Amino acid sequence: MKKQIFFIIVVFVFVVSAISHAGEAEDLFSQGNRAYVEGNYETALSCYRKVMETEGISASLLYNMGNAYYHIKDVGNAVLYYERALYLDPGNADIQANLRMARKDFGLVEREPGKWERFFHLFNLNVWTWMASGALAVFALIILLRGVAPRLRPGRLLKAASAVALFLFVLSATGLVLQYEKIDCGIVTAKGASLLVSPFDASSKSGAIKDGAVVRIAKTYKDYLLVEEANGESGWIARESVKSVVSDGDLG
Amino acid sequence: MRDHTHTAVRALRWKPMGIAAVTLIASICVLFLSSQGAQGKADSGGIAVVLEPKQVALGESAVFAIQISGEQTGQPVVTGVPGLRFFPVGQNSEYRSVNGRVTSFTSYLFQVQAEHPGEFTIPPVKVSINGRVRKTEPITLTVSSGGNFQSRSRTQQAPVASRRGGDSSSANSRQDSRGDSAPVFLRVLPRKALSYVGELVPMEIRAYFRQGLQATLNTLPTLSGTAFAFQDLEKKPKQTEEIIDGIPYTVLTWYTAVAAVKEGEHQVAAELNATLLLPERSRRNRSPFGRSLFDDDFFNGVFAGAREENVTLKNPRLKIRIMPLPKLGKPDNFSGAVGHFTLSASATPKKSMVGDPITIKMSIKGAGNFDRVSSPSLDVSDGWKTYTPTTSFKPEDSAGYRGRKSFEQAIIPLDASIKEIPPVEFSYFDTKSEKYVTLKTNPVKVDIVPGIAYSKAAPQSQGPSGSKPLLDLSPDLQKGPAGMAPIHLGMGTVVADLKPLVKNPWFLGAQGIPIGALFFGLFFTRRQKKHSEDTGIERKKLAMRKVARSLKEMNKAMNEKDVSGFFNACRCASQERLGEIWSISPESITLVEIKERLSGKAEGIRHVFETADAVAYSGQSFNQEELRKCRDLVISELEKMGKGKHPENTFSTRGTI
Repeated sequence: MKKQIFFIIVVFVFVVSAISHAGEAEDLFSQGNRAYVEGNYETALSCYRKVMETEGISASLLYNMGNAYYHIKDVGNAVLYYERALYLDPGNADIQANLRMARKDFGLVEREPGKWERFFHLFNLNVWTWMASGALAVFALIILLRGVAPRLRPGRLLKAASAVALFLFVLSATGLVLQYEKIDCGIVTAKGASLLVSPFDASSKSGAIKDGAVVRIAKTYKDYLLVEEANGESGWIARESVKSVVSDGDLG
Repeated sequence: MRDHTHTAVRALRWKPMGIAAVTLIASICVLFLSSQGAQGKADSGGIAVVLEPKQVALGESAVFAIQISGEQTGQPVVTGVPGLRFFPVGQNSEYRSVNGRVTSFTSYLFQVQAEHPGEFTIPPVKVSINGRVRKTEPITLTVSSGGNFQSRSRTQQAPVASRRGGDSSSANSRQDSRGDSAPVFLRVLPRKALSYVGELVPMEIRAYFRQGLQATLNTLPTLSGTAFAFQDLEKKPKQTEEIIDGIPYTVLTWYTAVAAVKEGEHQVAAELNATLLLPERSRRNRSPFGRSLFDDDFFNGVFAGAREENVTLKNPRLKIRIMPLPKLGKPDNFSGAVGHFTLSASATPKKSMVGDPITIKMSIKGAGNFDRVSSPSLDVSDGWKTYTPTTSFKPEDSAGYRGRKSFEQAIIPLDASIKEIPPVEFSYFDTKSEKYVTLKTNPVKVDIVPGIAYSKAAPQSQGPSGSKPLLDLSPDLQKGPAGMAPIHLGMGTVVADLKPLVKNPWFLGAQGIPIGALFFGLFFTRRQKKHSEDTGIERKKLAMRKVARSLKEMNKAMNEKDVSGFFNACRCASQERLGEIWSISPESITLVEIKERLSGKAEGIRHVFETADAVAYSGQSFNQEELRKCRDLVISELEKMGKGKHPENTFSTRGTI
C-alpha cells in the first residue's frame, strides 16, 4: 500500500513539474512574440532562444526566429531558421512564403523545385522515414506469413496489401533519399565571407559568397569546410561562417 | 715567378695522371683486342673492369671502366660503396658482324670520387652475357688525405657563373673568357619589350645547364626590379633540351608574368643559385707534345677530377620600356584592365514576375591583368533593384595571364512595364590596337508579369499545429512591414532537436527486425515452393503418414484381439514402406516380390506376409503376447529399412503404441 502511494506521488510530481515547465516555456514564447510585435527583435530572439534551451524546438518557434532575424537584416540567420522550420514542417505556407520573400529581398537566387520535388517536400525527413519503415514492416510481415504458414494461401486481399506496402515503401524511400540531401546543407551566416582555394588562413580567395546562400558541405578539414554552391562553384570556407540546417546539437 | 712555380707544380702532377690515362687506354685497347681475337671461339663473351688510378688524393677522381662483349649483353650492375660516389661519364658501343654473328662491345665509364680518405673495395660487377651472369673481381681504390686538391682546384679555368667567395665574375654571358660556351647561364625572355602601365607581361626564365653536368638548384629564380610587380613562380619548372652552337643543354623554364607599375625604361634582373659538379680540366692541352688524340671533352671528363661549386646565375642586362596609358579617350568605367578581352552575358529566367530575381551571368575572357578586371557595369535605371555581383576566376595558364573571369549578379524587376535588361558594358585598354575599347552586350528581352501580393495568401495559415493563439494581436500588428506572413502565436509540436531519425542508432538497429523477417519469409517461401515441386518428398511424406496410420490400426487390432485386422495392418504398413523405398505402387508388392527383392533379408517382413496369408486362409489364432511380438518385429524391420537406405525416413513408432 505504501509503495503504491509513493508511486502515485512520484507520478504526480513528475506530471506537475512537466506541466509547469511547459507553461513556463509558453510564457517565454509569448513574451518573445510580444517583443517581436513591439519591434524589439533582439529581445524577442533572446526569449525564443531561452525557449529552445528549456523546452526544445518547434517549426513555429524557428519560423518566428527567422522573422526576427529578417527584421534585423541578418539574412544569413533568417534563411537558416526558415530552412530549419521548413525541415520540421515542409508544407507550411507561411514559412515558404517568408523564406521566398527573404531571398528576393536580399538578392539570393533560388532554384525553383520541380513538381516531383514539391511532392516529396510535402513531408519532412522523419515522416518519410517512418513511412518507409512502416511499409517495410508490413511487407516483411506478409512475406513471413506466406513463408511460415504455407496453408495460409495468399488471397487477393493479402496480395493487394503486399503490393500497396511495397509501393508505399518505394515512394517513401524516394522521399527519404531526396530529403536526406538536406542533411549536408548549410547556410552561410557570416557577412562578406569568401571562398578560399585551400583550407588555410593564408590561402588566396577564389570568390565571394553571400550570406544566406545555401551550400552543400562536401568535406571538413580542421576549421574549414569544403562547400559547393548551387551553381557548382566550390571552395573552402571558415567553419564558423556556415551553419548546418539539420544540426545534431547546438542550434545557436 | 709565382706563375712559373705553379706551372712546375702542375707539370709534376700531370705526370702520374698521364701515366694513369695511358695505362687505362692501353687496358681498354687490350680488352678490345682480346675480345676481338677471341671472337671466333669466345661466343660466351666477357666482362672486364679497369680502375685508374688506384690511388687518389681526397677530392680527386678515379676512372672506373667496364668493358662488356657478347652477342646478348645486359646492363652491368654496379653495387654502391659507402663513401664512394659514382658519376656516369659516358658509354660507347660497337657492333661487329662476323659470319652473320653480331657481337657487341660496350664500354661504361664512371667517375669515382671518395667522400673521405681510406680504402674502398668496389664489389664485383655483375652482368648477363648470352643468358649467363658473369662477374668481375673486386677492385680496391685507395684514397689518401692529400692536401693538393685545394691548390689544384684554384688553378681551374674560372667558370662563367660567379662563385661564392667572389673569386670569379658573374654568369651574364653565354661565352666564358676563353671563348668556349658557358656550362650554365640564365636568360629572361619577356614576351614584349614595350608595355603599358598596369599591363601584365608574360615572361620566361630559362636556366641552361650543359648536358653531363651535375647541378642542384639551391633556390628558385628571383626577379627584381623597382618598376614591376612580380608573380610567384611555380616550384616545378618545365624541363626541355636545347642545342646551342652544337652543344646540348638541359633547359629549365619557369613561366611567370610581371606587371609594370611605373612608366619609363626599367631593368628586370633575375638570379638563380645552384651547385654544380664540374669536371676538372686536364692539362693535356698544355702538353709539350701538342694537341693529343685524347684532347676531347669526353676524355677531359674521364681523366680529370670533379669539384662542387656554388654559383649564382644572372641574366644579361634586360630593360623593358613602360609606356603610360593614354589619358585621351579613357572611358568613365575603365577600371585599369589592360590586355585583350571579350565579353558575354546571359540572363535567366527570361520570363519572370515583379519581385522575382533574375540572374545575370557575365563572363570576360581573354589575356591580360585579370586582377584589374572588375564587374561589367549594368546601366539599370529606375525599375530595377541590383545586388553586388559574385566573382570567380579560372586561369588558363600558370601565370594567370589567360583565363575567364565570371560574374553573377542578381537583379530584381520592380515594374511590370520592363521589357528588357539593359546592356552591360566593360572597358579596357587594348594592347593590340593601343586604344581604349568598350565592349557592350545586346539588351536581353524579358517578359515581366505583375507579382502576386503575398497578403492574399498569408492569412490562410496559422501555423502547423493550429493551436490556440496565446496573444490576442490585431492582424495589422502581426503583419510585417513588407507584407510578410505573421508570426506564429502557438508553439506547436515541440521536438528535442533536429537530429534525423535515420541517424538514430536504435532506429537503424530496429530496422533489422523487418529486414530479418523479410529474409526469413523469402527463405521459407522458397523452401516451400521447392518442396511442392519435388514429388519425391511429397510421396515420402504421404507414405510416412500411411505407415503411421497402419501402426495405429495394428495397435487397435491387437487390443481388440482382431488377428485378421492386425495382420492386414502389418501388411499395409510394410507395403507402404517398401513401396516408398522401391518407388513402386504399394498394392503391387506381394510375398513373391518380397522374397525376390529382399533375398533373405528382412525376415520379419517376410514372416508377416506369410502369416497374414495363413491367417486369411486358415483362420489361425494368436494370443495378445504373440501379436505384440509380431508388432515389435514389424516395427523393428521398418526402422531398419529407414536407417539403412533412407536415414531421413526414420520415424518414431514406439510413442504411438
